[in-house]
Amino acid sequence: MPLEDLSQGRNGVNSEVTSYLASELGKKGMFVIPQEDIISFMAHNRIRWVGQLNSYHISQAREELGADLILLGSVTQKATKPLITLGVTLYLIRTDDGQNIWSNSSGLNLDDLRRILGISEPETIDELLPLVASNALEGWPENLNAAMGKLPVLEIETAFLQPKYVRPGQLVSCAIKLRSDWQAGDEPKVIVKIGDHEQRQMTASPNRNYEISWSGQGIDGRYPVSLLLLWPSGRMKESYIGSYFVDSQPPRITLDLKGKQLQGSLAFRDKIVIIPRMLRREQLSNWRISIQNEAGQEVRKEDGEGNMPPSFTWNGNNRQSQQTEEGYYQAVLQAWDLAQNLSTTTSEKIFFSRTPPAMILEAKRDDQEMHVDLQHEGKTPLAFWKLEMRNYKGELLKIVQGDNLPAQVNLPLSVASIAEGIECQIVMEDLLGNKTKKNIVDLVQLTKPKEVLAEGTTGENEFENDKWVAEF
Amino acid sequence: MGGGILILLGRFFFFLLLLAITACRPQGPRLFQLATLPEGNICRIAILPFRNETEYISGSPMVTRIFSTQLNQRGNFSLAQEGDIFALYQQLHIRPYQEPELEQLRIIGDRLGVQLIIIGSIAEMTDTGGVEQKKPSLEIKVDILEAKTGKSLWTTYHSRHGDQFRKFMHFGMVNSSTELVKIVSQEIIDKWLHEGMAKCSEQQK
Repeated sequence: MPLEDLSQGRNGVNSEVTSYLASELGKKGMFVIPQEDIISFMAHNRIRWVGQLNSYHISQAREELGADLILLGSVTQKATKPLITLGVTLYLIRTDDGQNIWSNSSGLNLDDLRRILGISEPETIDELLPLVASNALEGWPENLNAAMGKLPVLEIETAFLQPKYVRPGQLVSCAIKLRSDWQAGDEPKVIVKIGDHEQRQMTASPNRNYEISWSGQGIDGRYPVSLLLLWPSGRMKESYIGSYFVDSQPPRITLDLKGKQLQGSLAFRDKIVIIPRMLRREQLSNWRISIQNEAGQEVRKEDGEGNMPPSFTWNGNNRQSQQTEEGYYQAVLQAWDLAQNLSTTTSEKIFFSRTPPAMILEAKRDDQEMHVDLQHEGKTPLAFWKLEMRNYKGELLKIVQGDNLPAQVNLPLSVASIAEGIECQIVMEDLLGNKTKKNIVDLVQLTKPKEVLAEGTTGENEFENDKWVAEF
Repeated sequence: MGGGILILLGRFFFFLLLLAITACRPQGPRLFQLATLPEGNICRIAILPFRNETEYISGSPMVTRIFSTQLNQRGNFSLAQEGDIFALYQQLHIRPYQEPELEQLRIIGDRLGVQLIIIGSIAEMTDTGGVEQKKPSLEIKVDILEAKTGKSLWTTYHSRHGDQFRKFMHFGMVNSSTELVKIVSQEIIDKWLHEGMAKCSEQQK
């Protein structure tokens, strides 16, 4: 067979080395089949790769070319720079039984052949070839015995078994194409063996194609599938085709949430981390997670193929990247395993709030004191509040802080001048970190009317709220 | 006094010489026996394409084929035809540089009727060349797997440079990759045979 030339890249052929070896084997008294016949055989059998043959083509070479032996090989190295180098590897195959009965390899480089003053050193690949070929053919077998047995031809040309994972009752299909032709009356029964006991005969189609489908039943687990060929003579051959899994159980998943516990439920302002945990490890085919509001409407979703990421993070935005409304939400995770069993897991309720705390401030005064009543209006309890009063010079008159409301702050008028005015600054932060900050330029102005200061209201006083940045 | 210094100097140079000899001495293949080879005579073996992790373009077919020639020659094993392995790789949609999965290994083993599967990877492979005219080098890992289960039985690491074989001046050095792959393969196979892998006789085939 033509030698593959690995130095020429994929599927290169070296005809020089092939011809040289053919002539050397001729000198050993062997009849070498002409190259034209070999090329024609390769074309007829659609052999596209040199340097290798499968068992079927080896047996065909015996049948069509009358070859007792096949010499296969490759040129492993062929270079002229930096130094001339040539390497070959050869196999001799007996076509009777497909056995490699001899093999060798050899490589030489100019450095291996250095002589004094460089006299008679090979200068080209052609000059190196006889030396390499002689080394490679060393140990060529003198006694080429007849085969001991019959060539074990690979009888299966193609084999498909699908799907790999099934739910109970789902169809499994197997399609086989066999290579061998049998004489009429000697055709084997083609059977698939499922598991250890079940056997089903395959339906024959033209061109040695066989197929069968069956319902994947039984207890969950792996089912090996083999092909059985049963000849009328009683001869039997079994080949392993593959296996499939019956899986009736959907994935078992729980959802852990990393957020703040607030009045018996989880709550967050910036982000909540959702961690899916598989109670039984198995591969997933795909998954889908969604966030639903109390009306069951989906505000956000994410999906993917294969296994889930270790965690999901939701920052309170909807699919248009806009902040969702304050309220209760739930994460719903759907996961399909490789057999397409679906599991749906719903998380506990999550409270989302990015609304700054609303406050009610009422100021009164009598002859001795100024009284400031503070109240909080909002779903989220306060973490802390602080009130500062300063005179027109900016000197601190009073500072009060606490962690719950309502509260009253009293300021003796002896320490402040009503005529000059009293500046007041109030800061409130709830347990989720939502913050409200208010600056009243003159508290005295508020002592007559009652004013409700809540989220988004504007009064004659300067009112400053923090700006919240959406970040889903 | 002078004699004592001479003895000390002598010991010092002897130590240096010993250090030089042991440092340059090439190491043999390192074999890790993870499990025992299957009972009985092992005759039929499949050598799957070596995975090439180097930039030596023809490294995989070259090492796979030369290793096959040496295993066939030294152990007289009956090797599955490369063409049959190639056909199975196509059927099972395995790319030549991919390592088959356990299930695929079992199918390959069963279809080829082999008891053992040999699979390897090439970690380093260079040829003669460069400004310093470096000699070829090769570092490979070869695994012996049980065909029935795909379980790894023996793992062997081996690494060689062409100039490790220098005897005198430039004599003895290995100058071609083909020869170096052949020697490395021989050393690995000899190690296996020495450690208990039995050769196959013509009758057993």
